[in-house]
Amino acid sequence: MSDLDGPSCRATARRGDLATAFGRLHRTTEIPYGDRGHALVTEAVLRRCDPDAIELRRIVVESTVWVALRGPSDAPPAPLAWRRGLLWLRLGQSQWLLDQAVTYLSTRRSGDELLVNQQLVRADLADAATDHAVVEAYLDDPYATPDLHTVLTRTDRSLLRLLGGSGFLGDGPGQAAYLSELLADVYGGGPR
Amino acid sequence: MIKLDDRLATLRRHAHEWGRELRPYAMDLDADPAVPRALDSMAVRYLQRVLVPEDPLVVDGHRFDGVAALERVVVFEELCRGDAGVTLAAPGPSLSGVLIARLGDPAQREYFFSRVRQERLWTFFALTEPSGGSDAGGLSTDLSTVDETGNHRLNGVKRFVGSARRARLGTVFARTRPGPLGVIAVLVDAADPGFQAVPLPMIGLRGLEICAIDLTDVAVAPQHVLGRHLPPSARGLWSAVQTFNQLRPGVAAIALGIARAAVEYIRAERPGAHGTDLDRIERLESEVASVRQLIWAAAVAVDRNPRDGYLASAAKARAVRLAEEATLGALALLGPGARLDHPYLDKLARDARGVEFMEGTRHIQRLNASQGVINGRFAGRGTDRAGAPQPVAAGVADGPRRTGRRVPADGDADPDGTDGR
Repeated sequence: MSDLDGPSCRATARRGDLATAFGRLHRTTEIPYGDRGHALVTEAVLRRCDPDAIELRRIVVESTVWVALRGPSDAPPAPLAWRRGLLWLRLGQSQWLLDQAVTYLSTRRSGDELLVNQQLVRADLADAATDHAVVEAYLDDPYATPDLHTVLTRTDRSLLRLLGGSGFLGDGPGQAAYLSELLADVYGGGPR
Repeated sequence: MIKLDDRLATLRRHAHEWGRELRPYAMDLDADPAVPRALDSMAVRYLQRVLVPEDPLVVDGHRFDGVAALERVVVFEELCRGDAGVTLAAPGPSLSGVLIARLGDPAQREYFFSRVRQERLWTFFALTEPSGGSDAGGLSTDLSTVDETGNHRLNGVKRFVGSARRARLGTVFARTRPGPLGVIAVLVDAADPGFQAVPLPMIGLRGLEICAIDLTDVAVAPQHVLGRHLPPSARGLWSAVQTFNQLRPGVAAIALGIARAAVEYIRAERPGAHGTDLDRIERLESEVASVRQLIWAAAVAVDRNPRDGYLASAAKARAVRLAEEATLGALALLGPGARLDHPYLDKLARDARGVEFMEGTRHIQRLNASQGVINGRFAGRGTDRAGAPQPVAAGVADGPRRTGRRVPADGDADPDGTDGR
């Protein structure tokens, strides 16, 4: 993991290509496990690693199949550097979601006004961009460990609301955000 | 504080049991929404009869017809606490029933409700359009053309319409001319030529089988134009707004049911929680109780006056926020991998996102509530703006107020003390 390039992962995820971003993050033949032995990887990574693990479910995002696994009881958790890389990936995904929201809102109207010009909407866009800046600032500091996954999930939820019903479609941007939440759940989690 | 009278308290106890019957079907329906489930349950029996004239459900000697918003929110919370997906997948008059009860003339009501009575009938309610969401003022579905037989011709595209594939009858909002008076609703038979409904892949609330509808020259007989006996000002956009006011507390109750299911789930999973974890759970329980009161107050307000929908907007916005917070909070309390180890909780978190888009997003509701504040009509909680007590509606009475976060408010506890699953 020493060659892990977080900003590169972020840049790829920001283009909406989560699978490639995840591939950049994961270059070994070891499955990355969370603290409780779960994993969530692309089918390509799964084939490369061929782990001794139980498949729990599959999720399709933009034609890429992601597979959730439960590994052996002694599965070693993914290294901290890898987890930090995952945060870069989720940051890029959330920034992609912000880009999607701006594009969407710039074409939709309520009455005669573009939605992107409404104050409530603009406040949400500003908050999202600010959250992204906060996360990026912390990612530059290897010793800071606030719950950045929670910040990103909250930000994504706010952006999804701006996308209206289209953010709730299984073949739309909401599905990528759902995958991002699942990655946070497996590798970030919460207090136990 | 609002306290239910004996009649509604009885209904609530029974609805709790009806909701419990739905839970075992939840995950199967989520995986395969094309196959309806729980069709013989008491919940579905109730939902099939809501608003149907002369066919009330009698429970312990009380008659229930779903006419009052307060009755509907009491039931919806309990059923959606069982499972929102299964509840919303039920056949029955649903949203169109509220619209037709409000706008339909006697013949239209008889046509619609007699079919609901005679068969297991799903109905649809088509308002939202791809270009303008649920902004009724921005509708573009066209009903301006009248053919040589005198029928209107309906053309347009609707989106995010629940149960439309399985439905055989429903209502469509369309426009006969520009302006607010040009918006009307019509009865449409899904079997008519030119009507096509296609399910959309959804992240949550899959049981509802949300669809896109394509309408191409669908014939609408003049007698199926709702409110044709009313002046345009009484059947246009303003009337639609009043219908949405009546529906909105019910949507809030769906969100509350999801939130409560999540909170009860985490209570059952973490019986020994203490410290900050226990604080989090108790805070969520307290919010469930307070949002319930808000929803009940909103329902009482629209039952008194259908134009009084400001509190309903506030309740919907707050309930949806709680549903998101409760589901995400419960997952966080279970630690890493909770979404994989607790698929029902993962489903609740997905479902909670869906309620946001039903009947207007949070921003729309907040803007509506703020309008009530500005024009001095956001009374709420049975008081006017100056704080003077107002009489409560039939079916409710002032009850004793309890305070303190660790003491559940009236109506907060599981009616039979059972757990969340």
